[in-house]
Amino acid sequence: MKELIAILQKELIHIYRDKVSLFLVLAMPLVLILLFGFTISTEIRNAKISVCDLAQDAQSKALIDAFRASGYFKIVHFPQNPNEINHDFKEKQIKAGIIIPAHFGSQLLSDKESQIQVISDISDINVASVLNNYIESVVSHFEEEVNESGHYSDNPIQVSIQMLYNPELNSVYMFVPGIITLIMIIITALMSSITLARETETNTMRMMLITPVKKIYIVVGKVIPYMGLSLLSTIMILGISVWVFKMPIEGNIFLLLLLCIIFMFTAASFGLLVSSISNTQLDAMMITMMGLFLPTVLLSGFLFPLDNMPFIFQILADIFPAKWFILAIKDVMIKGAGIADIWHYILILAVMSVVLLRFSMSQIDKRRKQ
Amino acid sequence: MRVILMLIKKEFLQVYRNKLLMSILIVAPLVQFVIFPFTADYEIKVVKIGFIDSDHSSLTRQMVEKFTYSPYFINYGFIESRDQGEALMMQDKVDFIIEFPSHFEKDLMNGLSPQLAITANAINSVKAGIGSGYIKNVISSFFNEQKEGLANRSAQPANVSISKVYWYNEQLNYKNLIVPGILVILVTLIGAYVTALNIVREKEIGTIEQMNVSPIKKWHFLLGKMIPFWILGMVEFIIGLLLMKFIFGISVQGSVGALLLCTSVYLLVMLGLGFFISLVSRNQLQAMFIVFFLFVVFVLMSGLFTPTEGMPQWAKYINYANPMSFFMEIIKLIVMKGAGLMDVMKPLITLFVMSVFINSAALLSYSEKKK
Repeated sequence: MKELIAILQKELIHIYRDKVSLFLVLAMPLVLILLFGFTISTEIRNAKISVCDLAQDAQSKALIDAFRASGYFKIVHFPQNPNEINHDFKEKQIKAGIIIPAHFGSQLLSDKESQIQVISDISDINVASVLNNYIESVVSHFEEEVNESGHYSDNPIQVSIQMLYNPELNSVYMFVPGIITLIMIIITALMSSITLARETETNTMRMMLITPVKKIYIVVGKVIPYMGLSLLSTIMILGISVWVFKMPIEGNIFLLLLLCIIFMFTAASFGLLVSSISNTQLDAMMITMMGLFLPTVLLSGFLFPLDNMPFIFQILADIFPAKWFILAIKDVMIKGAGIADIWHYILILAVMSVVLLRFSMSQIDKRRKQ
Repeated sequence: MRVILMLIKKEFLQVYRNKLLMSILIVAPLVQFVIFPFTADYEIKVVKIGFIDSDHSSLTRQMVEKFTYSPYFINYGFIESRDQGEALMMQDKVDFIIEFPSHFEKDLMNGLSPQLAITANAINSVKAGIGSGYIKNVISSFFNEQKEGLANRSAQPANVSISKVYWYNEQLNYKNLIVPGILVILVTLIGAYVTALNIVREKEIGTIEQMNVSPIKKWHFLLGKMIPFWILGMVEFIIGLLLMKFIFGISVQGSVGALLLCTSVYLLVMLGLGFFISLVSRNQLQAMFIVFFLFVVFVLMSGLFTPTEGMPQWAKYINYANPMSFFMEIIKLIVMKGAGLMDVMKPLITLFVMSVFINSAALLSYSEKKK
């Protein structure tokens, strides 16, 4: 036990002396969550558009007013000729051009049927798809107004929509579980694999192995401080998401922390495995990045929906622990699930950790004999 | 000149002998090109939908059928009760539940405007928003069809249809945005990451001290480090362009020469940044953290994955210091919109100013250290 504490102490001094890394490790979750929470929103305001109004009648004016009043659009140019919209895309950086044909109003009133044309810049598909939804909603509002003034009841079915779990449609809800996962991987897997690899690289590992300290104490003593750090970060993230972004924790907080600790073990086992097969810090870094970090970003379903992916990638996603952890964390945090609802996720993560741990221990033994 | 050539030769030898670095240089672009475009797809294509039908009328059945025909929906089928519905939503078996009240058809025929309750799983806010839009569309088009059937309705409501024309990306394909984005990520990683780690390694194993005591001048050292990685970055970029063309069929719409020029200037910014970071960090771990930290901020704010239009003003100001957002803009302009050199002058000059600034900062701090 004394040996373990000595190793722990040594590692803590290492961490404390490298203040830059320590600062970055603690600042990273903060910056990530603030970035995701404040700057990354799918809502767009004041998108520049051009409107070519060939009708110039009361209805077309009303439609233009509807666009302006929505707040989503800023009309920067009223070209006389539809061809000018072409130039506006390059010169005025507009995102969409709207052409209202001649006789728009008269057709609308007599034939009940009219058309507008929308030209969108799809080079940024993220922006374009949001703007298209806005345009559709503005136009359908406009239709309703026209119909109301003509005393038609257009839609006799009332539709009420209830947004379950996230009534304000806050995008942070999606990101918080993902950020917790990434931070855990960076701190627990990446940092512990690098510090072990550093001992190998500088040959201090050999020195430690010839001391009477047991191998298991060395490994555990080196990994525990990073687990503590990542738990601290996780609590920080949860704190910010609750106090700054008003995200509720519906489920049991202890269950949530238990889940985090289990995932931490999975990540630490992965880190151990990486360090046991790499000779230098660079090796460890690259293997963790390619083997764990990248798959987590791409295949965990937190940035990109898994439903859309080809079948083979969906299977790949099942192999990595992150997907299961994110599913479980979401269930507990947002849906208020209890242990009965998520025990199978916990089991999967536990099995993954045991397998990884067994594998890395046999790797370390193999090395020692060489 | 001869000194620089020697240094470049040394650097290439080092890269060539370093199996790991070589494999990164070769494998990274391939992996990114194979995995990214297939996984990075935001489009909401699949919405799982379930129904609670308390009416059991022919109308509700027709409506359910209408949803089944729509390519966006996967019909989970009928659900017995609200409780069961919520349990299914908890298990992610359904994303939306549509509930028909009893007497739905009768009320509708009597003009009583019955209410349709939709419950959405809103954890993924985008999916909830877009999905409910899809549902409303299906309902209103269903209703329009029904109305045509009802002959006694003489007063038809006015209707504005929208015809859409998509420019620069006719098929609305995410790959067309993501694949050029990968090129940007690739060049950034080679530039900043590999350079920073390479120089810090020299520092860690002490070979940088040997260089400092040799008659190599400091700008020799700088050039001797930058030129090889600049060449590697350009080679990677060109390989990436070819992969983009032959695997994904995305060809550069604008001037390739302008694109290469812009890339070389952007690489200078990233190399300078990598050099600077290597000077301020003490070991590889630190260097990696700093690069990684900046990289994540750069990518998230560059508009590759999420629109930058929605950012608050203060974030837009911060973004003026983000070289990646300028390069992303250039890539979009040249690759997708077919711009020439003149169209990208403004971001190009910005990148150039950035490269001068960061490289002189690096050089200054290097000579400071050398003393």
